[in-house]
Amino acid sequence: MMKLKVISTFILYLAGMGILQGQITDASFGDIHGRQIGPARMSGRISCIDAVNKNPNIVWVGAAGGGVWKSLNQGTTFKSVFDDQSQSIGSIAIEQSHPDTVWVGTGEVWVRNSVSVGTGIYKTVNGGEKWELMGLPKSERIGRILINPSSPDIVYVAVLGALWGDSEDRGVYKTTDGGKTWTKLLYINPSTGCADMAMDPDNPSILYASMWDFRRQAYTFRSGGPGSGLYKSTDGGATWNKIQNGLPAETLGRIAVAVSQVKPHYLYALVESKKSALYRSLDQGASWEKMSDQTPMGDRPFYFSLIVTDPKDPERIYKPGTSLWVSSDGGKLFQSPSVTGGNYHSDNHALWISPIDNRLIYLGTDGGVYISADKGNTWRFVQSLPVSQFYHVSTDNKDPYNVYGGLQDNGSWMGPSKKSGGIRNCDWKNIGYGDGFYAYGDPSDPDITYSQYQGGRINRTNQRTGESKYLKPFPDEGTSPLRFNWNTPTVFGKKSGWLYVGSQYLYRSKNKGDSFEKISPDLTTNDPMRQVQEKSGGLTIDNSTAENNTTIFSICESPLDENIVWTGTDDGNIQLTTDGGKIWTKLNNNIQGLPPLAFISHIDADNFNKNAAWITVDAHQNGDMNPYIFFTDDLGKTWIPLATKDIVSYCHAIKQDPVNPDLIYLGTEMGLYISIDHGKTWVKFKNKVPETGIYDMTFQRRENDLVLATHGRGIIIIDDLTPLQSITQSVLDKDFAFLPVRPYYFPSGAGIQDFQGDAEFTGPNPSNAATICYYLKKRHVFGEMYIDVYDADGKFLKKLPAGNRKGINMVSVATSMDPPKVPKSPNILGEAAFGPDYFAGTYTLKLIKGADTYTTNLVLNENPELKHSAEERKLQRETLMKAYNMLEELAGIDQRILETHDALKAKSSGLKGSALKKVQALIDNCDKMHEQISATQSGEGGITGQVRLRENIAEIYSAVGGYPGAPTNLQIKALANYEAQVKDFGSKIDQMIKTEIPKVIK
Amino acid sequence: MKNISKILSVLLLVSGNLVHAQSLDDILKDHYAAIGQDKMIKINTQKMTGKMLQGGVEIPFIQMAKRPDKVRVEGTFQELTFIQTYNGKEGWSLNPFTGATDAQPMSEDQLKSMKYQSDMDGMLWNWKEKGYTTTYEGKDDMEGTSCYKIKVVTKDGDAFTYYIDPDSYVIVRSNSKIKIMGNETDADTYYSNYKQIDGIAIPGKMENKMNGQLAGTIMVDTVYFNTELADSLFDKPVKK
Repeated sequence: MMKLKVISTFILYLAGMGILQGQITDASFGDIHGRQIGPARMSGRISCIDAVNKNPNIVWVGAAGGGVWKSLNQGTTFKSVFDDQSQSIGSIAIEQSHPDTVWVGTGEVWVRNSVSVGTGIYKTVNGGEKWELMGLPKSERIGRILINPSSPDIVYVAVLGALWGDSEDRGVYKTTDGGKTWTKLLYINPSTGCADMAMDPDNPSILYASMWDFRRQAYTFRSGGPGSGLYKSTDGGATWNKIQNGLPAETLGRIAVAVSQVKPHYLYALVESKKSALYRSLDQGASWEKMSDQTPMGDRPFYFSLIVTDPKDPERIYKPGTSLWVSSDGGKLFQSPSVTGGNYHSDNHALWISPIDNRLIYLGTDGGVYISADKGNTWRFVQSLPVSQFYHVSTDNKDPYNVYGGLQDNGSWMGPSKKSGGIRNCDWKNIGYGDGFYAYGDPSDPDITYSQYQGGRINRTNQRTGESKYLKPFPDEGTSPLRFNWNTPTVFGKKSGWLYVGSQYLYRSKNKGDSFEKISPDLTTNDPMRQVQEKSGGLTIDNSTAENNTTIFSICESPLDENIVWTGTDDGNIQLTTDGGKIWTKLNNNIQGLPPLAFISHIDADNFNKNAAWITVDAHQNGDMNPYIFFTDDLGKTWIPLATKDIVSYCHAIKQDPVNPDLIYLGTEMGLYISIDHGKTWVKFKNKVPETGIYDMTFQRRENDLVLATHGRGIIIIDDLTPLQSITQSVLDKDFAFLPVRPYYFPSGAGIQDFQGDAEFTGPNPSNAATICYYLKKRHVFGEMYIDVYDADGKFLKKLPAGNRKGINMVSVATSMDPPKVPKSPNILGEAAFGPDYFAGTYTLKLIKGADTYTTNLVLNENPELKHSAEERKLQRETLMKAYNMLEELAGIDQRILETHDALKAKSSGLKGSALKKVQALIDNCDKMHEQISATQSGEGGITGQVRLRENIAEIYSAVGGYPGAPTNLQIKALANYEAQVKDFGSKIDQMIKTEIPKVIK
Repeated sequence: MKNISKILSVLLLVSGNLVHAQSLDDILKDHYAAIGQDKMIKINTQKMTGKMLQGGVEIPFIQMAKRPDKVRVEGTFQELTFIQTYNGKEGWSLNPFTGATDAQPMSEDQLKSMKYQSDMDGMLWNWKEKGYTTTYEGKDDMEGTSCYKIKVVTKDGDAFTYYIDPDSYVIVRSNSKIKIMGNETDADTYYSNYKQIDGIAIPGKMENKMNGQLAGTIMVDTVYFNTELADSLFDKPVKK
């Protein structure tokens, strides 16, 4: 017995290692990947920029939620180089003496309500190819990195730190060994972080640091407190002294500090106080003079606390903010640098000026990067940064379907999921204003769109006429003033199609928003303490509706019963009605482990069981970044917690697959997770879905796609979920298993002739190839592995390569015959370079893997969009194959002619006199025939303009092959004419071989 | 009890192999053994035939290599033959698909690439003598397989990264970053369908990607070693 037990333990051990049983891992998803379609049309929030001083063509851009992007050509093209780390970037610092060494501090410091979180400081020494986490993993937000130019292993880091709670992991940090070890040099208290730093370029031991006392909560924000202040060190950070002689002797808020690079004793400080102002010191901070308290000096310091000195002119300083301001008199008077231009996005967070040409400026805004070549007068928009920040996403059912969504500070947009030549910026259409959130196309009227913006504002717009109706609910008599979340839930019922809008009450419209009925009492805590947005901001009041609280945040109607509606609030309530809103039940007390007063970030009513629902809870605004997921299947009486340690951050959205009830998708602040076992275990989906916030997801049912709204990397589509929907434990246990894919239809659509240069991001299209799919437990390395294709009659057609990676393999199957053989010519015959498509029908595919053979079918369907009758299609096929066969026949004839020519030529060498003449006449005849069959003139570039029989047939072959309906009458007639010519050449050469040559050559 | 200790020892062996830290020399030694490097170094010529699949078009190809550093590639379509040759010093390209009738000489950068390709032993063999810097970069995930990652950097700063399968010790992926006219190219080749020919492991399928996008797939039909290949094959080609 003992022996048996040990063996079974051993088996379990092996199973745990994945040797006996297949385990799902991120590698299991194999070829299934995200398709990042952008857009870059409106780009997204940029938090920081750095460039190489000696070569400003090399630009590094940090995005608020979209990672790090590098350009080698002054922004013409960008490449993302930081996909596997936190996508929230606080600062970038290039080691200027060795520009391939770059530091990235994660965690944006422009701390709006939707700001993300970082995971520490990273370094690359090879230009971004490989990154190493250098430490400060709890820093959350890093706003400045300063590298000692003469000893680049000495680096100072301004850690702003936690936003939503106290933390001791903040202040000024220093490394002297390139990041191996760190010392905290300046720390005030758990609510005060380092907002900004500056270094004296002549003496890197002289440092300036601004400390900021601040706190954000779900319902309010505080900027300023006793911890705020401005400090100086003259000994490399060992000791610090406050330098506020001349600054207001009162509570201070956020301070930006900058040193002139040409006159380092010029020091500028933008100081938030009751009356925020710019101050200047001409004595390295010993004393300060107030320069300006113009309105822009107090412009939303939590979002724009930045001052940038011109690298050549100590009197010229820039103040990015809602707009860009510049002073050329040391800060006394600020004005816009844009005189003849200025069409750039508002809300500026990053500014870099070239030290070798101070006319060149890079500006980072809420809407991407702009470049000026004239000191900020005019601006060129960078169209290659797809870092847009979506809040929500929906799709319509057009073909191709459109994607709709709203973005941070960039309105609402719609764009196609595919487009000939790729999805370009110009394919996206703006359909709403402000900060966009929910956006939809009306399923019954292709002209109508819905878009929601800040605080419950909703428009229903006719895109054809431009007419727009404002649908925001208003309080009627006896109703309290309405409270709407910044991101107001505006949701269509999955069963009914009715429109739901949440304030503290739930509103329902059965006529597209023309009239609403209030179908709930106040579903929130209605806690007055959480309704203080008018006082929010601390020293600088800031009430944009972003701090509105005690509101409904999530709504979901059951897809199986329109009377069942689930709601979640931003203050922790989960409420359910099962009778269309007559009675509401609060479910909080039934959920063990539910964090109190947290955002119920998403509810997904189960697609298969009307008593079941899935919820995610986001408590990060209470300082708790753990994931929370709960499931009920008894209308909320009992709940099962589903979050595991494999999920590393807080959750925004959860969706149950519409086909496979056990397949669940989870959107978190750091990427997408998938469960194949009803939420018991979760695996991160890494394939081209970066560690960005997945705020929302939707399914496009016809295409069976999953569409992700990311808050930093635009829209990401996972094409064709069919294989994933078939992944089960029993599949994972097999060494090999075919998996189904969505039906294949022959594609349509013409190419485009458009050369827009390289500067524009173009979203890739889905594959339009016929595909087969299979799961491999282990990578195939040794031995044959390929696919043989057979037609319905079992005739072998071709051998194709097979995918051999571990996990799911999506293998494109070429569905065309070999191109026709063509008569010889010095020029390529492009019109005959491709073979005809296979006929629609069922084909057999045999996958040979070593000694094993696995068989499956591939069905090719006619494109239903192309309305051709069966007769027309038949005529097209017959005509096409006729042209194909004629080219092949002509190639054979031409080959016989050329072989005959060569044989005669060989024979002629021994002949003289009339015998030679007779042979030469035959040779000449061969030459003549070949010249009539094929273009024989060669020329550089291949454009000789010669058209012979082969070119004529190929033109018709190409024309008929490119259109699956009936050919034109003249195509058919011309082909008949050419057919006669082909036959004629065949007869002539046959006759020559059979009768003429024997007469001459005995 | 005896059985228990036996099984435990197996477990320890399994675990031991899992955590054993490999050095560059260890990995390369196993790699050479796996691919039959000792036999390869005795091979003077290699001729390979197969087809290239690119954008739905199949192009039959012949690749020839001869020591010390000669290489020739032919690809034929519509009876027109594209030819690239390199004789160790000079290289040419004849591309009739663009209407060219004469072979064009290769640029310095192209010659550099051909020089790398002409190394019949692969860059990992005798890397020190070749003046390369080679480092073991640790294990790295390669499509779900934790591979040994070895990086070779040439004197020109071109970088080649090899992913070696930990079970079979053959290369399953290579990445090259070569500077062409000052711009860095990024190309990957994924190797599979290895077969043993005369004791030498040859990949039967090679999938090429440029900047992560599939550029073409090579399927190998035949490989011949030590066939007679005249030196003239590697000189300036003439149109067929």
